[in-house]
Amino acid sequence: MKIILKFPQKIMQDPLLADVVLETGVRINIDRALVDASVGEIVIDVPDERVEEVAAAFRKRGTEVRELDKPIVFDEAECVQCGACVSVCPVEVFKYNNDRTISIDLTRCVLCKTCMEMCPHGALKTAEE
Amino acid sequence: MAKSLEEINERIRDGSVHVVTADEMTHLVGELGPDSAAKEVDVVTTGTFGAMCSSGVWMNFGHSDPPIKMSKVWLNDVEAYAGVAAVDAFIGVTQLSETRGLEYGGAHVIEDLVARREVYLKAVGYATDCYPRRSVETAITIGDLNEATMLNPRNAYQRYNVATNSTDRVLYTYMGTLLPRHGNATYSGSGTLSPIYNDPDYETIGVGTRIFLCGAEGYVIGNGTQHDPVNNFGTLMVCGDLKAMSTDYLRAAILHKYGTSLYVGIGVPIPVLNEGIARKTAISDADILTAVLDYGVGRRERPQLKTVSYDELKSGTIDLNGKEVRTSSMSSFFKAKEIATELAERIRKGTFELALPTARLTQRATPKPMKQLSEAPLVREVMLPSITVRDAISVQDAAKIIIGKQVNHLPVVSADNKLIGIVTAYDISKAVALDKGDSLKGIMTRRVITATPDEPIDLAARRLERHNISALPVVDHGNTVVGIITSEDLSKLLACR
Repeated sequence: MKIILKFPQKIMQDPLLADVVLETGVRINIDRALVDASVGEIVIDVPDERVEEVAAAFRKRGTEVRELDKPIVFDEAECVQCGACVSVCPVEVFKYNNDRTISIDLTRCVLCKTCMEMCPHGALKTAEE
Repeated sequence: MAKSLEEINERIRDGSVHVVTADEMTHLVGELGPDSAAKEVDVVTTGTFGAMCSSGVWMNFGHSDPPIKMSKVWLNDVEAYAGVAAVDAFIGVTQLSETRGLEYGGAHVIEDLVARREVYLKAVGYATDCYPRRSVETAITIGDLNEATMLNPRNAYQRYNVATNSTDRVLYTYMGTLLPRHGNATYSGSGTLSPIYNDPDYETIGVGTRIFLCGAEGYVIGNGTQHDPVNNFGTLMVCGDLKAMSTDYLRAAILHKYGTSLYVGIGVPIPVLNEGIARKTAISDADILTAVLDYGVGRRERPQLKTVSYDELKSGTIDLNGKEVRTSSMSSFFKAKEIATELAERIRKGTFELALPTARLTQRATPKPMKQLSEAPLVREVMLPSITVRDAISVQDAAKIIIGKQVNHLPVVSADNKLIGIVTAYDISKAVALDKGDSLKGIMTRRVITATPDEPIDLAARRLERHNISALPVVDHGNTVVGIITSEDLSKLLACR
């Protein structure tokens, strides 16, 4: 399962991922990381059965943890099945079917939002929008 | 054997007409041969659904009381062209809202009208004896308009180029987001379903051909602008009644950081009058070739990287210099097929008859580039000689040069005169203030944004603006500094144009 971690500025310099991996022994996969002056945001992939344990280890260190279960919201009424999204997605969420409709596998999404910008019809949004 | 259009229309009326979509016809001709296919099939339907920026709608609002001669008019804050009679105006799909910018444009106004949503109208004029009113504001729906006629100067491109990006940064274009270092490629057009590719000699598509336009009946009224049949980039000018259109086949679009456009759905029926037409409608995705262009080059002639077929494009990846590059269609094959199928259905049901053109479209045109009174100046013509320094010199010596030569930027070069960094007057002041760095090594910027001597100054100006910097060292192919171009010099030049 993918979870999103948000680090407040004051702990951004700490080797949190390394600490959590050492503490839990869970093999964490980093899908996406964004760090700038004010915030650190990392999307990680964790085996389903260890999610709670890993989440607790991050929370203990002052990290905000959220499951990324519904990352992008797809508005079927706005979609025209062009597939502009297909080639910009780094993790291949979108695929052309044989009839040229688009299939969407949101479990792969790492919330990079590139598809949202690409979609000419505003059919892809974040859950908050 | 030959059929007349009247015979085909007779079959439409008595319900015996045989209609197939253009992709089905490809298989049929493959199986039966063109001769038998021509006997069997009466009409082939084509379709396309994609961004067509050269589109818009003519409207007549009716007269207010007292009447006004509108000289400027806005619909939902999007300006429409009103330089015609009192209450006529044309709204173009790429015109942006004066209040919402890139989020909303003429295309959205048109979609709102078709969706029967209310649109806010504002107009101003100068008072005359016959039109005394100076301004009017009201809210209208499509039913309040006397006429709403879609009139699109350039639609249904026969095929289109493939866009990719060789540069190190993301480009936002009318072909969508292009990822750096050929990270993706985008294309447009409907391949085997392309209206013009199914009638490449314009035997049945001409002035007066009845077509499916966004769900309504429309007409081809001439060749489109930039019509280029010689190079298989033919285009159509079309019109139709907006009031009969549906949002199933017409959608406003936003191309991120580029602007708005309208996805237009067009279906053109091709009457299979003879074996020759049957053979031409057998065209497949593999037969239609198009060029992959590098949109990283901001010039009219973009470098062509290779030629690919629509078949390859639809496979999901193309090969560019040994790299597998993923492809996206900006237009919708699914909707194109839906349109061809819907048109076929209307013909079968007898609600859509075919019309032969009253005049042929030209097959010889090819567009000219713009006549310019002067060529855009090149960087080499306006750059100034640059003073360069070595990275070993002290901050204090650099400061002396900056003051002595009255410059703000010092490109830093290696022993063999290659550019390795840059320092600005600000970098020097900062180093002094912080008491930092004996040499320039520690304070110079190493990733230098540069210009080349043979590019137009507009490209250099855009680069300065994008990176929010004030000068670009000019380097040759060997990365040797040959000059410098500053925003100060450029703004003086551009102000004169």
